[in-house]
Amino acid sequence: MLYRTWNLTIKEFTQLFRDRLLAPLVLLGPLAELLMVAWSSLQGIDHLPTAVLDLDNSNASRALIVAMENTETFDPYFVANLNQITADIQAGTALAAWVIPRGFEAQLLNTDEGSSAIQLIVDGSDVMSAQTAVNTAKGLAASYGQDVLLKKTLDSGLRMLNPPLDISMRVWFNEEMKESNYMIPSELGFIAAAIAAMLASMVIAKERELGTLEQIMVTPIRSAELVIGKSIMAVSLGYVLFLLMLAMVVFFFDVPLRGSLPLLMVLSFLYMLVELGWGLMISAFAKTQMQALLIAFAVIMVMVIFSGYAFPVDTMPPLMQAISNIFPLKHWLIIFRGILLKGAGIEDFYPQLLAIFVLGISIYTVTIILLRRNKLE
Amino acid sequence: MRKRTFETPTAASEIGRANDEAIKTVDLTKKFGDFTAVDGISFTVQRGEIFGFLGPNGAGKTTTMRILMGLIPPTSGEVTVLGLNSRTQKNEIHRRIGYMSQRFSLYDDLTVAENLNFFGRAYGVRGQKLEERRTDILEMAGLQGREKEMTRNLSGGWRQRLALGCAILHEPELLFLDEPTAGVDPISRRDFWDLLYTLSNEAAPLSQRGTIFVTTHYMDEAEHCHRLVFIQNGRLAAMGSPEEIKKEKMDGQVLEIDCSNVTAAVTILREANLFQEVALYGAQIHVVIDNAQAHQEKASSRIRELLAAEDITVEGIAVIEPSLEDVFIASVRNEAGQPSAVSGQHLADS
Repeated sequence: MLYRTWNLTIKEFTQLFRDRLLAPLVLLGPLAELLMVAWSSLQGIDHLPTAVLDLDNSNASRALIVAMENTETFDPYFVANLNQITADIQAGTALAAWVIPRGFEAQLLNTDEGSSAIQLIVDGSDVMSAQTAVNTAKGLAASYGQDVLLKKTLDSGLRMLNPPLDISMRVWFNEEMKESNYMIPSELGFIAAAIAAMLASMVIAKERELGTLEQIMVTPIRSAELVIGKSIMAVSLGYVLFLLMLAMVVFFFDVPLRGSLPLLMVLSFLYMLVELGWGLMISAFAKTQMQALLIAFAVIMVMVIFSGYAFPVDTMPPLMQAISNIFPLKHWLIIFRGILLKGAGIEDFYPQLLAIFVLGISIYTVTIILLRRNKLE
Repeated sequence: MRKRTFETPTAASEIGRANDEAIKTVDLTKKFGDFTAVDGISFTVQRGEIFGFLGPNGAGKTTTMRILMGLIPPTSGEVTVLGLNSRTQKNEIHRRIGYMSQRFSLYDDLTVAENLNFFGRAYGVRGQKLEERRTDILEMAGLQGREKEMTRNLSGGWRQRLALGCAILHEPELLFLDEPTAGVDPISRRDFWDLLYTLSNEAAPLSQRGTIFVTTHYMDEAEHCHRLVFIQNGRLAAMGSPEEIKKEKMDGQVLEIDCSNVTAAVTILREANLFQEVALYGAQIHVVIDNAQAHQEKASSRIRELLAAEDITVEGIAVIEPSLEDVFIASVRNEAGQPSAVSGQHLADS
C-alpha cells in the first residue's frame, strides 16, 4: 500500500520536474499576481482628480481648497465654468468636482442668514471612489465649519464649551484600518486554493485522457492509493506556493503575523489538502484535462464570491451564507485572518476546523467513490 | 517454422492449480442502458492458449475484456478468471494478469526505464528482481541502450514492445492484449507475433504456461491463434480453432480470380447479384459460391462471360482454401442483412 503510493508520488514528481515550465509557472505566476493585487490595494483610494470652480475667489474659498488638498483624497485643479466640470466628469478626467458659489466668504462670516453652501459633484459610476469622496467631503465640511465657528466664538470673546458628545474610537486588530490587511490575506488564501484546485483537477483527467488511467486500474494500485499518490504532488506544490506568498506578504507588505507561525503552517497544510480534494473530485469525473480545467475554473469563480474577498459573507442573504459553508476557503479565511491579524490561537476556531475537517472527509470520500464507479466511462 | 505445439499439462505442473481454465464465462451480458453490448456469451480459455477474440469494431470486444479484467461489472452472468471471481476478487486478479491496451498507454514524459520501473513497482516488483526483469524486457523489446530515451520519441513498433514489456514485467499468468498491432507496420506486426509465441511457449518470461487473450480484427493474425471466438453485435458467432471455424462456417467454396482491372471487375460481379460474396483481396478477387461441384464449373464460365463482356481479361480462376477473412466477411455481411444473393439456385436459373 505504502510502496505503491510512494511509487506513484515519485512518478508524479519526475513528471513535474521534467516539464521545465510547469513548476516555475505554477509558483511564479501566482506570486506575481499576489504582488500586483497587494500593491494596488496597499494604497487606499486617494488623489482623486477634482475639478474646482471657485466663483468666490476669496480667502475663505482658497483656505477651503487648501484644506481639501490636505486631505490627500482630492487633487484639486481649477476650471473656469460649469460646462468644463460637466465635460471633465464625462471624459473621466475628473472624478469629483467642487463648486464654491459667489458670496461664500460673506455668508460664512454672517451665519445669521443660514449656512454657507458649497456643491460637491461625484462620478457615481465609480462607487468606491464616490463613497470615499463623499465621506471625506463630509468630514472636511464639518472640521472646516468647526474651525470657522471656533474662530468666531473666540473673536467675540466668548468661552469655548466642550462638545456634549465625543466618540472615543479604537480600531482593534487593524489600527490603521489598512484595507490591505484585509485584502491581502483574502487574496493569498484564494490564490492558493485556486492553484491547488486547478492542479488537482488535471492530474487524474490527464491520465484518463492518455489512457494510462485504465492501465493503472488493472494493476494492484487501488483508487485510494491513486488519489493519495496524486495529491501528495499537488499539495506539496500548493504548500510551497503558500509559504512563499506568506513570506512575501509578511516581509514585503507588512501584513502583521501576530499568531503562532507553526500553528499557521500546520493548519494551512491541512487546509491545502482539503482544498485539493475539490480539484481531485472534478478530476475524477472530467473526461479530459480541458474539461477538468473549465469546471475547476467555474468552481473557483463561485469560491471567490464566498471567500469574503469582494463582499463580506456575513451580510449575504441567508441562503447564500448557507451555501458558502461548503467552500473550505470561507472557513479557512476566518482562521487565516484570525492568526495573522488577531493573533488568535487554535481554541478560537474549533468550529471552522471542524467544518474544514468534515468537508475534507466528504470530498475525498466522494472522489474515491466516483473514481471507482467512473474510471473508464 | 514456428513452434506452435503446446505441451499437454503434466500432473506435476498441475499441482497448486485450481483448474485448467484461465477464463470461463457463462451467459456473460453487459447492458449500457438500452444498449446490449455483450449478449449472453459463454466461452472458456484454457491455460497456455493464445486465444483470439475477434469481431468487427463495436462488436463488444473491449467491453468483454474490461469485464474479464474486473474494470466494469457484468450486468449478468458468471465470470471466472484464473479461478477467481471477477467481481469479488478483482484485486487478486489484477496481481496476476497483465494488460496492454489498444493505445499502448505509456507515460510519454517518462523515459523507457522509468515507465518499466513504474509499472513494475505498481505490481510490487522491486530491488534486484526489478533490475533483472527490466534487463530481460529491454532485451526482448530490443530497447537496450535506449533506457534513457523519452517515451514520446519512440515510434509505433517500439512503443508497442515497450507497452508489452510494461504489461509482462511482473510475469503475469494471463496476458490481455487489446488490438496489440493496431497502427503498427507489417514487419513490426510479424515480429510482435513471434514475440507472443515465445512468451506463450517458453518457460520464461511468462509463467510456465502463460495464457494470452488477444482481440484483433486482423484476420491473418487470427490464424495464429490456437483457438478463437468471433463475436458480432455482442453475440457469439463462432468458436473453435481456425480450422474448425472455417469448416463449420463456410458452406461454400472460394474462387480466386486473377484479372485485369480488378476494381471494375468487383463491381460487375457484385452487380450481377449471383454470388454469396464478392470481395477484393489485394490484386485478386475472391468469389464465394455454393459448395456443389457442379456450380463451380458454371460459376467459372459465368464469371468469364460477365468480365469478357466488359473487356476485362481473366488470367485465371482457381478454387482455394478459404481464409478466416473470407469466413468472417461472409458472416458479417450476412448478419448485417446486406444483400448478397445467395447461391447456386440463382446461378442455375440464369
